[in-house]
Amino acid sequence: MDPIDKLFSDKLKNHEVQPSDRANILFLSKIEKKEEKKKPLFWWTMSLAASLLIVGFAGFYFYSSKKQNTVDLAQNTEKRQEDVKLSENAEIQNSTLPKSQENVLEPLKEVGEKGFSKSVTVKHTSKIVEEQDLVVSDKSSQLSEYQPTKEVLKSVQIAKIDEKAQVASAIVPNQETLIFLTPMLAMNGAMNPHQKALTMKALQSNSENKEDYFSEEKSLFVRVIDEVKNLKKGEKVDFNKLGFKPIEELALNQDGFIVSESHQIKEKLNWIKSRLNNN
Amino acid sequence: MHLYFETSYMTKILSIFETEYDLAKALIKRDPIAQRTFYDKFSGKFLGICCRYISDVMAAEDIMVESMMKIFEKVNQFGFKGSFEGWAKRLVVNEALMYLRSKKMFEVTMEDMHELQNSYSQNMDFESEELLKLIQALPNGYRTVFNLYAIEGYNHNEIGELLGISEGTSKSQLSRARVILQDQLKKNEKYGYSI
Repeated sequence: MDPIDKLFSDKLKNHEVQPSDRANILFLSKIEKKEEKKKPLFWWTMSLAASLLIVGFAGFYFYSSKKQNTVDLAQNTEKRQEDVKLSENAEIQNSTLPKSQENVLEPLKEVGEKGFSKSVTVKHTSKIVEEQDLVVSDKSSQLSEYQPTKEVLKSVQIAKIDEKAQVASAIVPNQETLIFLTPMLAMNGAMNPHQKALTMKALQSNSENKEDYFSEEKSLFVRVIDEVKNLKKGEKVDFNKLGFKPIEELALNQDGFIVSESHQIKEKLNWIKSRLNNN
Repeated sequence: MHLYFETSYMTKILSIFETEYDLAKALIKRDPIAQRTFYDKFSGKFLGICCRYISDVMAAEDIMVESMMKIFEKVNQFGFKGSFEGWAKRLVVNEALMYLRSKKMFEVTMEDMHELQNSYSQNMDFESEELLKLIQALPNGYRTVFNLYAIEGYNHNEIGELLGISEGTSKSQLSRARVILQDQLKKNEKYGYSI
């Protein structure tokens, strides 16, 4: 090895030069920058994971509560169906028409104060009324007043409530018959059996009993339908029975948001008009 | 004197890393204590290397810090074969060369090789810092080749690949560097190490 090479190699191979403070600070700053870069990413990932967990738990909670509600609803409907069945079965025993007879019911008597037609004819088809077919009525006393005739019209069908089915067949009134059914029955199965039973009750029950009519047991749906009928007759709607205020009344509420906003707008418009007129 | 830790505390820290392989493993895990330990242990040596290639001290310090960052980034590429210090030093040299290349400081000139009469001084007792100053006084090309050949131990073929020059150019550059250094050594010897 060349002596010059050896000299420089021996002396300088492991030679150390102490870095200045400037170099140390530079190193520290670079290290800290790297550590800061990691932190946001860490926090971003953690926050993302936490939000996903929260959404997951919320969704699970709502899903489980919804499921519970549907289970409860199913149970309630089953109960109602059972109730309807029981009542219907009781009625069947009292009021099923005999087989092989073609019957026509005499006009119903006045069944209600408001909104019901006073004379109605319901006629059976030539079909034999089987035991399963139900004439939904309130009580046996009602039907016992009617005396069936032998005339049969094919165009009329009796409303059926199947044991299983939720939908009732359409009732097509004859030209000679006046409609005694509510619009909702004519909508062909818009109601569930419970509602239908209640409606028929309302139709055929002795509505002189106002307490029954206005009782809280009646569903909002039934009450609304009754008020609609009143409206058709030309009477005003009584919102107190329904339990809510109309939009106009809400709008007239002086403390309400709608009124205050519209009032403010009106005032501003008047002010602008006054300024324009002055100019 | 260490910037971050007292000597006793430094000893405790170093004792955690019994071997340089332990230190390398800790650096792979991005342990901040290991990083500071590594800096304290090797910053002096690495700056010494950088000062041999780059005459400007401030630029040399910048390159040394950059080299440290590079080592921390690439420590996972260390295969735990051979010396970790040697592997790190090679990275530092490469960083210094990249800096010189970027600044276009390789003044490599094609010169005909000629035999030089090497008359060496009998008194070779020079301090390291004096010798460092002599090297820093060399032209960039001569200095680089001399460092790579004489101190790092590369052969001319490897130097040619690193710098993008031919073997002949590398040899001529080395020869010229030796002549200049020899002259400088004689002068300093004559004037009693006053540089």
